[in-house]
Amino acid sequence: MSTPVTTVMPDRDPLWSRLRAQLRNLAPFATLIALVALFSSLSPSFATWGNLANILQQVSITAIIAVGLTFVILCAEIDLSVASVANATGILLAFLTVQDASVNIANLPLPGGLSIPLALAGCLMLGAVTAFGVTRIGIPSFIMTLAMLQIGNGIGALLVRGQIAYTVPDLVTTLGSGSIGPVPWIVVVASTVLLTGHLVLTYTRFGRYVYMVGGNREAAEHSGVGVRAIIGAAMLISAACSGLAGMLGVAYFGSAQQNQFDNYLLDAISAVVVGGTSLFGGQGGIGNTIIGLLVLGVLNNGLDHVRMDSFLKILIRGLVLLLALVINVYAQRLRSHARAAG
Amino acid sequence: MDDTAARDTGRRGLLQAAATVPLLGGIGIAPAALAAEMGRSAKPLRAAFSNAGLQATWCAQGKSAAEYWGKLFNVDVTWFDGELNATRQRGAIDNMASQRWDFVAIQAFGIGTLAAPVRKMIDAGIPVIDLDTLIAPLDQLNVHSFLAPDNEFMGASVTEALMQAIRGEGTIIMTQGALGHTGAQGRARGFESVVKRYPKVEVLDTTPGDWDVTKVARIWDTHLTKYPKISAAYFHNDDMALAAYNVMRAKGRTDIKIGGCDAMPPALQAVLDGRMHATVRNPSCRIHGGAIMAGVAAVVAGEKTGEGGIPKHVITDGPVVTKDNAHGMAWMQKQFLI
Repeated sequence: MSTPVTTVMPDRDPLWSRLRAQLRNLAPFATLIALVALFSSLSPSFATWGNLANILQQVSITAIIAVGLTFVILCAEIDLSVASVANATGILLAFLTVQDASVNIANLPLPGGLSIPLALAGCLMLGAVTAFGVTRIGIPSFIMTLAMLQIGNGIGALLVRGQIAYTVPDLVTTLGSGSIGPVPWIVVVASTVLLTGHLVLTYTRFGRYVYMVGGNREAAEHSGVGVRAIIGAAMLISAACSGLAGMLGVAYFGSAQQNQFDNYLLDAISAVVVGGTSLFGGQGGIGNTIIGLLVLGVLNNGLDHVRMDSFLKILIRGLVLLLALVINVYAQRLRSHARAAG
Repeated sequence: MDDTAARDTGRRGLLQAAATVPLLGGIGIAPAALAAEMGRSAKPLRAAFSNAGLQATWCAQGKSAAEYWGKLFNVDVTWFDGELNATRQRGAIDNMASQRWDFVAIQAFGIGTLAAPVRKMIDAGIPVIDLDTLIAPLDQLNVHSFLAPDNEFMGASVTEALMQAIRGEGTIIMTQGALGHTGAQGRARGFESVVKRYPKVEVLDTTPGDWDVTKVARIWDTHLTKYPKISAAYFHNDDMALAAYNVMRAKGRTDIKIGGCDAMPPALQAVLDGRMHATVRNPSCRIHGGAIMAGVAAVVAGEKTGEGGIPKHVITDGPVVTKDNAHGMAWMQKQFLI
C-alpha cells in the first residue's frame, strides 16, 4: 500500500520543485508570449519587423536606466532619482553645447564634444553624493534618493529656466537618433549596456558580492564583503546609467526640457520588478530585466495597435502590471516555503 | 472645370465660415448640411489623433469634437493619448507612425519631442495637421497646416477685461503656465502688453503655476498672506483660476477679480455665478473639428497648403467670455462649434 507513495513522489517532486523555483522567471516570460500572441491576433500591423524595431527603440532608454537600477535593487536598495538624474544630465549636456540663436538660455557652450565628459562627470557626482548619504551618513536609500530626485529636478530647472534646448554634440545625436542600416544606434547602445551589466553580475566577484549583499547583508558582512562599498558602487553605476540614458534621450526626443523623463522612474522600476527581480534583493538579474522591458514595451506598443477606448488603455496597462506583480510575489512566497520545508 | 471650381469655392467658403467666428449656430448652418456640402468622403477615412493628454478637460473635449465631426465626415478617428507626458506621447506617435493613415492631427505636449516620427509620416505622404502647439518650428517641419489660437491675443483680451473691471488702478498677479510652453509665453506677452498701458496698476507677482492646481493653491496661500490688497488676478488657464478661487474663498478674499483662459464649462459656470470675472475661449472644438475638415479636404479634394488652399497657419481665436455671452458659449460648446 505504501509503495505508490514512495515511488511516485520522488518523480513528481523534482519537476514541481524546479518549476516552482523557476516560476519567478517563467511567469514574466509566459506573460510576454501571451501578450505577443494576443496583439498579433488582434492587429495585423503588430507582428512586423518594422514594429519590432519600434518596440526595441522605445524600450532602449528605459533599458539603460534599468540596468543601473537592477544593481541597486539586487542590493535590496532603491534609487528614486534615476529619472531626475537622467533629466539633469541631458539638460547639462545641452547647456554646455552651442544652441541655436532662437534658444533663450544663458548657457555656457564648450568647444567640440567636451560637454560629454563633463555631463558624465556631473551625473557621477550626483551618484557619489547619493552613495555617500546612503553608506556613510546612513540615510535610507528611499529617503536619500527622494532628496536626490528633487536636487536633480532643481538642477534641470535652474539651467533651462523653463526654456527648451535642442542641440547636443554630434556624437550624442548619432547615438541617440541615428541608425546603422536598419538598426537604430540607441538599440545597439542599450544592448551593449545590458550585456555588460549581465557579464558583470554573472561572471565577476563584484557581481557575486551584489547578490550576497542583497540576499543576506549580515552574512555578507561576516564573510568580509565591503557591504558599504558594494552599495556605493551600485549607486554610482545607477547614476552613470541614468546619465547615459539622459544624454541619449535628449538626442532621441530632440529637445532638453524640465521634467521630460519623469515617467522613466516608474517605467524602469516596473521593468526590473515585472521581469522577476525581487524588490527585497538578492534574486533576479539582467535577464529578468530584459523580459520586464519587453513585457512593458509590447504592452505599451500593442495597445496602440488595437482599436479600443483610449481611457481603457491606461487601466488595462495597470491591470497587466498588477497581474505580473502578483505572480512575482506569489513566486517569492513559494520559494520561501520551499526553503523552509527543506 | 467650372463645376469643380464652383464646388471648391463653396467648400472654401464654408471652411472660412467655420474658422472665423462662432457663426455656424447663428447663421443656421447645421453640421450635417455642412458635412454634405464639404465633400463627405464616400469611403471611410482613417485618421489618427493625439493631443497633450485626455486628463485635461480641454483635450477630452477636443477628442469628443474630433469624433463628432469625424462621424459627420465619415472619418474613423483612432486616438493616441499623450497622457500629459512628453515621453509617453513620443512612444504613442512612434506607434502611430508605424501604421498607415489617411491623415493625422497632433497637439504636442513637449515641443520638439515628436519631430522624428512626424517627419516620417510627412515623408510617407500623410497630411499632418498640427494642433494648438508647435510640434517644431514651421520652417523645420512641413506640416499640412497649423491650427492654433493667438495666445498673445487671448492674454491681452482677458487682461484688458480685468483692467476695465478694476478701472485701471490697483494691483494684479499673473499666475503663469509652464514657462517653456509657447502658449504660456504668448499669454504672458499679451498680459504685459496691456498692463504697461496702465501706469496705476502694479504687478505684484508672476510666479508660474506650471498648470498644476496643487502648486497654484500653495502659491496663492502665500500671495494672500503676503499681499493685503490684490485687485485682480490673471491665470493662464481656468483650472488654475478655479483652484486659486478656492484658496481665496477659504481666506475670505473673494473681492479679487479673476480672469482665466480656455472658457471650459466649469469656468463658464464660474463666470455666470460671479466667481470669475472673465475668461477667453481657446476653441478646442474648432481646432479639433477643423483638423477633421482640413484632413478630409486634403484627402478627398486634394487640397494643398498655400494660395488657394489651406493656409500654413490658421488662427483660431475665441472671444472673451463674460456674463453677457457665457450662456451662448456653453451652447456652442455642446454643439462642438467652438
